[in-house]
Amino acid sequence: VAAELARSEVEVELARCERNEEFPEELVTRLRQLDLPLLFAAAPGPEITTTYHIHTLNALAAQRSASLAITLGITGLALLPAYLAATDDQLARIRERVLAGGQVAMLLSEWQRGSNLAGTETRGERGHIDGGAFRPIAPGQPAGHYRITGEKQLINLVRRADLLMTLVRTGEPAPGSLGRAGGLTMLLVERDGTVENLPRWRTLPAPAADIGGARFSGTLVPAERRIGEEGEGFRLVQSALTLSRGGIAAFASGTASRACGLAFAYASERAPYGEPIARLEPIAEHLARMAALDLAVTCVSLRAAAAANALGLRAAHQTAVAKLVACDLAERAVTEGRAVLSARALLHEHPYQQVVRDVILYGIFDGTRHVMLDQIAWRARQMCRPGAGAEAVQVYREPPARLDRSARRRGRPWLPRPSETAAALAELPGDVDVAPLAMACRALEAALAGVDADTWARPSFAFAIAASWADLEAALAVAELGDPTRRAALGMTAMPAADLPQPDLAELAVALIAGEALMSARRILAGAGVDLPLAPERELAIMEHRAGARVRGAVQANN
Amino acid sequence: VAQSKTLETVMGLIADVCAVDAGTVKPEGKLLAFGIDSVRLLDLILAIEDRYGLELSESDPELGALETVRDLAALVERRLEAHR
Repeated sequence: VAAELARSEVEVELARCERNEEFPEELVTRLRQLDLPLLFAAAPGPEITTTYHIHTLNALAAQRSASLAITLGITGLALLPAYLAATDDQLARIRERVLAGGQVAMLLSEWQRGSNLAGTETRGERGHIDGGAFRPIAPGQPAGHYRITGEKQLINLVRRADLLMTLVRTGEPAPGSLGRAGGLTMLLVERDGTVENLPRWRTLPAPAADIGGARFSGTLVPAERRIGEEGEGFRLVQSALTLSRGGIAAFASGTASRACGLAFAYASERAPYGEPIARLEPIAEHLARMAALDLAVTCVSLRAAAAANALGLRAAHQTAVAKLVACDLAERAVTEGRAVLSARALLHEHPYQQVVRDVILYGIFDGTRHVMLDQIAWRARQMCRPGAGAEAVQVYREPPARLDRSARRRGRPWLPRPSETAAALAELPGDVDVAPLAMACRALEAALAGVDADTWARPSFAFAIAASWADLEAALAVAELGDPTRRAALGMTAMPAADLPQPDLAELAVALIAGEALMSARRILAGAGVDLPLAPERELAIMEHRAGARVRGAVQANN
Repeated sequence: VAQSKTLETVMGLIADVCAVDAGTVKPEGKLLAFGIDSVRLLDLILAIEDRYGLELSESDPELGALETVRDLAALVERRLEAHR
């Protein structure tokens, strides 16, 4: 599949589809003939239905286009509830359907309710078939069938899918204050004539993707196609999104890498002043920052994959951080590239316009930015408490595990303090200086330990701090995985050698991201009457200046 | 005695998961007041499961109907009894 995606003809084919807003039917068919469905089948044998494999597919496809990436990636997302809760018999049947070419979509959102899944209105009436007709039954009696009525909207691939993983309301919410999310159930619906396709939406990013809606008019679903228990749907969706968020970071990583490749190629060829613009210091500066941000997105995405593989649902914090930060940093990388390409970045005839459109897509998937910030703030607060800390887990040494096993690992979220992670990194051999980052982590944790509950309760404070906190964790991911020596010491395989000196690039990324995170946190904390010492920020600024000059020099020298 | 011990442990877990001072968690305190909503409830359930080696089902209607810290501790106690 990777070899097929790397063919230059594929780029031409996708560009034509995007221009004409046409679904890339032929390409998708070719990829499926290359045994792509095996990747999702969770079949016995070589373990290829793993977090690592699916994230890699996401990143490789996103290097081509977001339209293709979300078209291929949706199967992995839609099957997550099955990996989490399907019985062995159900998994076997799903495997058979997927290997026979069945496509799967995930039907969660509704037009009126948007991201409020607890408000799902599509109904799955409980009943049984009697004399060929559906008869509703009273609550408490076991259902033999469900009858679905309602409408789902803004659903990727729904118009083409044969299997519809659908969240429906089979009961009323529980009466108490925490019961709002009760009464929801996940059903794997086999498409039939009662499922009507609703028109395709035209979208700014991913214009070749087929995003539309579906209307159910009394669709009958046997109870054996229920995934998990009745009423467990909300929890299943939450768990699935916890795991899929790392995959969104992989999408962002693919787009950032594509942007980087296009900007570097352009800057080495474009010579309006007689020499390639990459040799000009301001342009080399943008390219250096862009490459550093691209590296950071890769590292944070890989860290989430490793955590999800090793810990399953316990990696909820790492996947939320990855989704938030990877999408933000990829957008920043694309903006740096726009400064390199200038007007060319906005021409339909130049491929860069595609990444400008695509990169804004991923942030809205699987929980909005605000949902991520809320979760990160809440867990950051836990980590700042005196005595908080988590056991050391070697997530990178865990071999890739099949998703129907790794996804079912559950327990309390793994919340290692950033300062402890930094201290552990300092013990490992490495070329990136982690001392300023460790100092930054300690300073922020100490400052936050002094913040009162009322201040934390203000979203304007909590969300801003969560963003800074997540950025510090991203910088830690770069110190772990962007530094080739430390990466090897952690048990990870090498990354392909880049043209730029990797330790310098990693140091630039660490200093840039952590420095800005601290600056933002200091401002917010000052508003709350809490001081954040300036020393770590100063150290990081010096590091950024030195590493930046080395990377910029390398960019200029390579051109 | 057993119930009060469970109550004490549950109060500690709430303080831990919600990152609030242990002294602010009272038996009659409303769970919502500690910021526990339907999403965060999952973290608390996982903490309880971890502590007691129990498996609580999020689809359990009793769980949704909880209002206070004491209600939650009583539910844990009932599940522990059933488990024994």
